[in-house]
Amino acid sequence: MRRFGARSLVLALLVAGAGLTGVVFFQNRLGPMNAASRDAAIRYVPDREMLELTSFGYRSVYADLLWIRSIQNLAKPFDDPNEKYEWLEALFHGITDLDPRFLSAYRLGATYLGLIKRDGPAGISLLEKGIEANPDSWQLPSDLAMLYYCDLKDRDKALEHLKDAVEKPNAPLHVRAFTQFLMVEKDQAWGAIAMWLRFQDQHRKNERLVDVATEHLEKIKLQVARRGIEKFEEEHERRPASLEELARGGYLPLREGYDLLDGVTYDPEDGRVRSSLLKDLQIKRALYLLNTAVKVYRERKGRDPATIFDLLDVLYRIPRHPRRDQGYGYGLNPATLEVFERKRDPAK
Amino acid sequence: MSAGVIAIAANTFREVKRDRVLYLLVFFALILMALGQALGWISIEEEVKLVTDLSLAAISVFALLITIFLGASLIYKEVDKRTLYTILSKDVGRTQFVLGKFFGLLGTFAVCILLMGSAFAANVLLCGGSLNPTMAAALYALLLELTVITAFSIAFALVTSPILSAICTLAFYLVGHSTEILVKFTAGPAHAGFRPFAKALYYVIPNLENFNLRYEAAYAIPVPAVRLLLMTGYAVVVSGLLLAFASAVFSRKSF
Repeated sequence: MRRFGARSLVLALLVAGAGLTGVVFFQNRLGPMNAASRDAAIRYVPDREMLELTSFGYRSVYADLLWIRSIQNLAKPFDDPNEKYEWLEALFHGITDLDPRFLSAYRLGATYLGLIKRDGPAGISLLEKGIEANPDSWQLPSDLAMLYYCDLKDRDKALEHLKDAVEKPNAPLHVRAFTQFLMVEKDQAWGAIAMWLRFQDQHRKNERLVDVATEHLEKIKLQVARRGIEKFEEEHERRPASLEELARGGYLPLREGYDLLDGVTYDPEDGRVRSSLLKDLQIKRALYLLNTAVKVYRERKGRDPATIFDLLDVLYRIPRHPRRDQGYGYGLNPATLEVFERKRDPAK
Repeated sequence: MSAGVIAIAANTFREVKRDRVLYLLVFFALILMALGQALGWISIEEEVKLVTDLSLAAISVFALLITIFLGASLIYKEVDKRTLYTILSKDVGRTQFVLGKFFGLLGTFAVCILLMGSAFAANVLLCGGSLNPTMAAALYALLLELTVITAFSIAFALVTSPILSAICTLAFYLVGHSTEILVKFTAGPAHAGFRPFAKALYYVIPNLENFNLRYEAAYAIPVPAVRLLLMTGYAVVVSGLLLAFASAVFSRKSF
């Protein structure tokens, strides 16, 4: 093989160096131009027919890719925010056209359109499309209710959709609790009571769920009484002397068959209503949660918790004792690893 | 099935097993499934769905590529290497030869799908998902789809060149997945003129969407046994017709 001389080698290196510099020069200029024009091109979202036609049997994957594209751009700044909103709205519709069961696209899309774009009707339209395609979902009517409640301040519509959500399978307790809150606010306390009594009846074999329902029934009683006191104060410019005075004046929606005042105590001094049963149930629930947390702690850490505060490693917070003003709290017995209710020594 | 068909099928299975393209494509499918896992991490709340969708799509796309690459060239190779003459000089009919090739390829696809299906199951479990019977049904439906595509690929390889057959098979796949949508879109008055053409395509070109259970698998939608039975019947009839055509062409072909 013929050997190259030093001159040829230097020349070759110079040519290669110049070539490489040229490549870098052109690449650095062309790259951003490509990105700018392609970004605009990629922002095009075909209509429903075109999306379906070009999916060739991979509609779900197509929807997934659009979904990833949309969530990547949620926080990305665009020169024109309106262009971004319109593009994202088209993307969310495209995703849900391709995959009508894509709950996250409806939910995130509607939240984005309602809260960021401040276009409640656009969010509502997306969620209504989702509800039509997913009649068994509790999430979509619940989100729709939140959009009406937070964005459009329409509590009647919010309540209408919450009532729809709680009728769906697997509707969680927090949706039920919010429905109850709005129902009492809209003078539908008996509807809220009926909802929890029905829930109690459906889950009568599950002691914890029965307790949860009882807890909410007690909360309804307190909420109803508070609203009655507020109305009484507005009209008489004084607090009622007793709950009986409130009832006699027609400030409580009393009915036969269910005692709305049972277990509720009222202190005319501070104007507050209390339920001893509610506090007992809250303590019972807290003890159950803390004892479960002890088990989780032992499983995760492989050792026993030394104090109750060690449970903060597995819990967001230690529940507050409803009678903490009387010196009550929770403690952990290190010998039996049981969480118990204790009264603090006032001297300590 | 006659002994000749079984012998050729077994031989085809052994021959295809030696093909590097097969391993390369299976390898890429596994890589794509692993990538699906990464895409799942960056998606919000939809990790399992994304992994399921992408894994099933990867299996489907690479199984299609294997069919195109292997199906189109299989018989052509026998002619090109002149091994066909040796086979046909023995007590093997031309129809038996075509059927043997078909079943040999199908056996290979079944093994590939089993392999990629296991990787898919591991992928789903790895991202915290759970397996459902529809996933198995989706893989079975894919095998049925490959049955039809293989039959088409073999039939076209006999009337055209391997490259043209590969292109036709790809086109067949794309059109086969679009006829249903075409009919749906031409239902309105705006496309009334195109409707008869779309309807004709819908019946003449095998509807490969009949074998698409990927969406159902992603959402664990139960698939009734009747649907699977009908799907199987459809695949048998369509591939039977295509193989009969292939056999007729091959019987009249002079080498």
